[in-house]
Amino acid sequence: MTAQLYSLAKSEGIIVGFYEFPSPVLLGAYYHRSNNPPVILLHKKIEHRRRLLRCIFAEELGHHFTASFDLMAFARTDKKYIARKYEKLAIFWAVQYLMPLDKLIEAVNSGLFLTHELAEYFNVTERFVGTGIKLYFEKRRDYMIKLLKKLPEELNC
Amino acid sequence: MKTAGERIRRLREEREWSQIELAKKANINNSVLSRIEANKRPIEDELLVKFAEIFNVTVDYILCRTDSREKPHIITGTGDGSFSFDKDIPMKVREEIINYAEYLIKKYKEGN
Repeated sequence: MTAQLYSLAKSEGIIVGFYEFPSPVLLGAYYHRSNNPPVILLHKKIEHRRRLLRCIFAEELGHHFTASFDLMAFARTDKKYIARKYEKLAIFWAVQYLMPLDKLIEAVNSGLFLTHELAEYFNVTERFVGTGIKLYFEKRRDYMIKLLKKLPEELNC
Repeated sequence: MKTAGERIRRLREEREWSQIELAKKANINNSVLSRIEANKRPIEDELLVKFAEIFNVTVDYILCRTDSREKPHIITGTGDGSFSFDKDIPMKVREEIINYAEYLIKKYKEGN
């Protein structure tokens, strides 16, 4: 499943490398300097954590497709909210890529609605499922409400 | 001393755009743009980002914090669905990441 992300990165001309980040809070980074191939760095410690790797990788790809300026510089200033906005865009890209809304509806309709079930089904982390559903609620509210109505009654409290 | 307004004017003139043309691209009134270029009006954050995108330069360049137009951008993700910018990324960490990415680019170019 991660192979799909690798091949997308390759077709975009992105260099992908594993790296021991000098910071415990960073699991991935996207770097692009004009006229050079973009680079996605992924933390070595997640190399074998298949689901987490997929989520981080997809998010960095999300940056590739949605951002075009230095967010890290922004993150260090009082304009953090701009960085956050673009960070969210990248995550939403990843969510739509790894957990497309139509597939999510399909999954719910087939009886999967617990976080861990959905995480397994989409091969992502539980936290990613949570964030994804939250973002879908923000951006596709009507759809999501329709979806909720289909959940078994015992969950509709 | 250079100013952000001058930088925007210069970037615009290099592209031979009129103020009206640029204002249209940035989705603002051309009187606003004219005041920005004349340094009579500060640039709002969102607009600053928009200019950077339109001209394909860094925000730092427009703000005259650098003379380099080159556009390194590095964007992080703590990932796992959390937003990574709640924690500050120290400058030193940022530099190390850039160094490693540059090293990979160099290696890649040598390999081709």
